[in-house]
Amino acid sequence: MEFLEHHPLYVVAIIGSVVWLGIFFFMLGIERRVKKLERKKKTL
Amino acid sequence: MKIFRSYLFLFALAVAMTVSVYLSLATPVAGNFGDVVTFKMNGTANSTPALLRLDRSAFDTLGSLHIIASDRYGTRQLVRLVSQTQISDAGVKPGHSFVALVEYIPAEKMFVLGPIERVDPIMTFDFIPGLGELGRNMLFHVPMSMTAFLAFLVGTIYSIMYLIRKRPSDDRSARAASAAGLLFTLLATITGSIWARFSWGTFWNWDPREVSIFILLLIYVAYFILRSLLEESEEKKARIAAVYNIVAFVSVPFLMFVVPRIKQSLHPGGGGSEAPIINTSSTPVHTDPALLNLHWIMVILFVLLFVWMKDLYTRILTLEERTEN
Repeated sequence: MEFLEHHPLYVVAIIGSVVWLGIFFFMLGIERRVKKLERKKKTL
Repeated sequence: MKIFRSYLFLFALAVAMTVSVYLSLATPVAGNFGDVVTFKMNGTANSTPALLRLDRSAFDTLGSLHIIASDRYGTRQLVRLVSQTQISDAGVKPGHSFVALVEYIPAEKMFVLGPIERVDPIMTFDFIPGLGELGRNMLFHVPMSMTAFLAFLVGTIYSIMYLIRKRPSDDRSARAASAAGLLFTLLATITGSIWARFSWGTFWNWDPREVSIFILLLIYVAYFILRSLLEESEEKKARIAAVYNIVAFVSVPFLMFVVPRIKQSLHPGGGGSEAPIINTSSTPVHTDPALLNLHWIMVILFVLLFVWMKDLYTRILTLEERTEN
């Protein structure tokens, strides 16, 4: 709340969006690795 | 769930979620003239953010600027500026709407305009008494709790299907859905704790809803511990885990919906008090449409995120199993 009070809302919103995008790209990285392994398993 | 393997769909989900997260955090909370008076008179707040529309402004003979502004209910009040250049500096022109901190001076029956926070906002959230800025947490905490319930339900359905069809893929799906449910319950608990810290003073109050969610967390943590400790064959392990998952879900509606409403609670809706904040009926609390619409969008996005997580974890479990074999 102190953070919210001392920063404009758009700063908080940008930080929130960046945190979400970090989680998204982390999951996307797992998705890519899983796809790669699935393709490898199929070709074996 | 093939669509969740398309990068185009996943990027669309990311864009929708980013916009929603941004709007949830950046939308100003604003009341009206009535809220300003109420909070001043009952000592809750000296000044309250209000959404106003500038009708006209004029200097008086002493050189101080007076403006006429209206709120959404059409009432017009005289607002005295603290600084003469405040309106022009902020770029507010007649017809513009703006969010500003407003203070009511009872002795003079006059409203004093504080700093202008936003001019012509795309949308605003209603000022909820006692919550203020904290109200926006409802856009994260409540959808996370709803998604957690759905995840546990999906996990149970897969467990039932496993007991009927005996397909290992159903067991993997049940495991993945329950893991996602546990994650969303944990996230809902964390966001709830942050909310509790600023609303009730401490992160944890042993409120009936907090106790019930803590028990729920223990029940599902036990599900995963049970799975890892069993030294039976894979089939027997899956069967025991499926039975446990079904029995565990029986407690979910009681712990999430019944217990917190029976017992006296700090949460809205506890012990027959006022209804929860998310309320579409007309009484006793009507939720602001902007907040309600964004809330349902967030629910849909969190559910899509859960489906992606579940699908991803199921595939990882399938790969692990194939490697072991």
